[in-house]
Amino acid sequence: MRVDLPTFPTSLPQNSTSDALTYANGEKVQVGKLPGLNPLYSPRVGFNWDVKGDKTLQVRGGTGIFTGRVPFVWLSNQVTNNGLLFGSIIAQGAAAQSYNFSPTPLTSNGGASPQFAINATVKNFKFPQVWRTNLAVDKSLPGGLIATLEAIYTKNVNAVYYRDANFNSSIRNVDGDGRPQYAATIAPNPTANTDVNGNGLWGRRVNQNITQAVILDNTSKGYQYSITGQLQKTFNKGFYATAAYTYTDSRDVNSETGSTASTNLTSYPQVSGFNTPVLSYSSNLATHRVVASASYRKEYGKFFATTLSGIYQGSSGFRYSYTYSGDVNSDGNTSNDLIYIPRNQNEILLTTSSATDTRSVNQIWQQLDNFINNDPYLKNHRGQYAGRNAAVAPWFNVLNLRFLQDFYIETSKGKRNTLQFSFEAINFLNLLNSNWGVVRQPARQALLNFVGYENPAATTTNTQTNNLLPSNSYTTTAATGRPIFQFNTNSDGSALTNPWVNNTTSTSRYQLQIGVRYIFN
Amino acid sequence: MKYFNSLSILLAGVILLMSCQDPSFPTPEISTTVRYAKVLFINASPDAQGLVYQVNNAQVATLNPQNTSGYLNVNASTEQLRIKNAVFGVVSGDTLAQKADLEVKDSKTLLPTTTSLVGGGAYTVIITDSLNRPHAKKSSFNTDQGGLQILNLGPIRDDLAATPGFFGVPASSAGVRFYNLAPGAATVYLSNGGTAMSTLSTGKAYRAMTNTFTNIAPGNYTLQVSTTSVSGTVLTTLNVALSPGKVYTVFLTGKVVNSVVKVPYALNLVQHN
Repeated sequence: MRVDLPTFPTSLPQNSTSDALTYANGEKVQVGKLPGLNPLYSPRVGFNWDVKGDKTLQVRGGTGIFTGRVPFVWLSNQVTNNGLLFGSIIAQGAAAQSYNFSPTPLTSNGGASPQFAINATVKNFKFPQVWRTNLAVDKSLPGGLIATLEAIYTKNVNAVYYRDANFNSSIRNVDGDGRPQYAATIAPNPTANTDVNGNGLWGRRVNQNITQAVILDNTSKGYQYSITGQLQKTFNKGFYATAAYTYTDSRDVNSETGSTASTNLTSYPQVSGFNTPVLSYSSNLATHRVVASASYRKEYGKFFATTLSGIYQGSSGFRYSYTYSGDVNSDGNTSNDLIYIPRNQNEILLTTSSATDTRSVNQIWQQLDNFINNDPYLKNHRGQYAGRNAAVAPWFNVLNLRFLQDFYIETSKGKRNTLQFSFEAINFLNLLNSNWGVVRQPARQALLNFVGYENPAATTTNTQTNNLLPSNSYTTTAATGRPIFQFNTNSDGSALTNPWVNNTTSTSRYQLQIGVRYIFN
Repeated sequence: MKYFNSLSILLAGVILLMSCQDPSFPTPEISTTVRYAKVLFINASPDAQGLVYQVNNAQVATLNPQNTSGYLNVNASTEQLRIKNAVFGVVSGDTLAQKADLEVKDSKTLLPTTTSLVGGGAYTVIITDSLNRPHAKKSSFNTDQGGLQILNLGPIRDDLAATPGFFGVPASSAGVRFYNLAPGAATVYLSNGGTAMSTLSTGKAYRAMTNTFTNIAPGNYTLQVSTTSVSGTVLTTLNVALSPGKVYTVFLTGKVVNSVVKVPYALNLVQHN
């Protein structure tokens, strides 16, 4: 049993303005409060059983709760983004003349209240905890082989995710695929709550002066499991070899690859809105992985030793998401909307990409349909939203070789001093053939450009003062109709057919390295 | 080996139990309804025979001078309109297309447009001028390379769905708007003719743009175009029957070069609803 008790002795300044506001679903947010004192209990148990008592069959395993921590920058975001240190005033033209440059910090010349973002954690926030169980069998086989079969299952108890407490609910669903559609403007209509068609006219923001209220919260969604089979053998005369295969699955609601709260909130693709945590594939998931290694060392001539070793790794390709370029759901973010994969031409409205585009709509569909058929994920998931990190790039192989030449002498006290020359070939397969050892990456993740809705929103520049920002527009009629998309050609005008292109970084290139070192003893 | 097999089966069972949780992707709700915009094409050129009209590079109409297509269904939002081998532009959301986006073809003028197509909206695209209209000189050549043009640099929003009536035309009246589309013609006037002649349109220069409809009692008329004023020299006439609640575009075609009529004047009528 282990108990963690995270504490934060630092007291933060309070923001009475934002503390007094009420956010979505009646929530209150206090930026000056760090997570409270929440003890985290981690009971664990494990075993190791020599089944026959002769070490030829071993069963081992364990289960328990494991506690970690979040990157502390996620918590320190709250310290700087509290609405007290900086804000912004957006004004242009004559309105901007009220805001002359002032060299004195923390003052303004009056006018509209500044807008600011706040970051906070929920009151009972808990550090990440998982329940992890593993079970393994090691078995000695004939010929000196050792076989291992191991399964690990991890279930999130307290994972973390971000949400925006100042983000209003959707106003309707997008015609076409039915995903939630948010307000066209951040400001609400001051005179009506719905338009003539019954669509909501509230703005995207609950409180107009709060650009974001990003809350660090907990979720129990998410899990990971893997099963590994491994064979290893140590031969006589300095030869050793091992090979293993691992199957892994991993799901989470947000892989949180950024350091700022805003990035973590808005940078992951979604369908249901970034306040609705949906389980999908983890960004670093490699479903299939094969690792094999071998080494051979030979000492000879009293002063010499030669070592040759190699390690091979084959793995499923990178995970990626197919998204729209553009803000299909009007959430204010132009790169986080997962596509709907059309089954046929009736399910998508397409148009030309430019005045010089010579393709007809039918030809554009044929190109898109062909592309979908060429990507196994898209092909097998027509009629669905593309999943976050659900598409997989092709398998890749990497073989690294190492050659060591030792020159050594042994002292009278039996100690060995060695001069060692090394020669390494990283991605040796690429050295043999430029088409081998190449990592493939998606040719175009932002597959379709969103052009607009069939019936765009009608908006009006605000001239009223009741809780609206002076320069903001508000919606009088919500956007309706299906979204319309462009499927662009390659830059040379040819059709985009191959879902993947070669990664041209050093990852896909061979590297040769020589070294020398002296080993004292 | 017996133990190993048993444990392997146990492990496989555990894995199967673990793998039951599918990603919780939402279920799409698909709609295939298309909210078309309606676009009416008019060839008002005096000499451009067999103009091929394309929407997104698909042919939608072939029109000789003075002919119209009737309203055609076109997808809404940003759509490419092209008059093959003549002019083309892109309808984009309330902004002029950038010149860099436009392609010079056969030394014809390339026309940006100023409005987007809205689902359920109605638009008229009128091609005017002569195939051999001289191009502009010097730097102006970049934006005016002669030849055919689209009236008003883009589609005219007809807004047929406006209520009550259309463009403020009462259901008991007919509405008429007038364009002078005869290259080289002087400013002309449109009247309803007859003894109680009244002005339907005051002086209109060539390609003068208006979207205002004049109300007129339904009935049979001999529309006439005249110079100087409604009582001036009559250039051409057209017998029409105007119905209540309907709106019409009347346009003058023909061609005048150095005060010599090269293509005879003609009045043309298009009913929009």
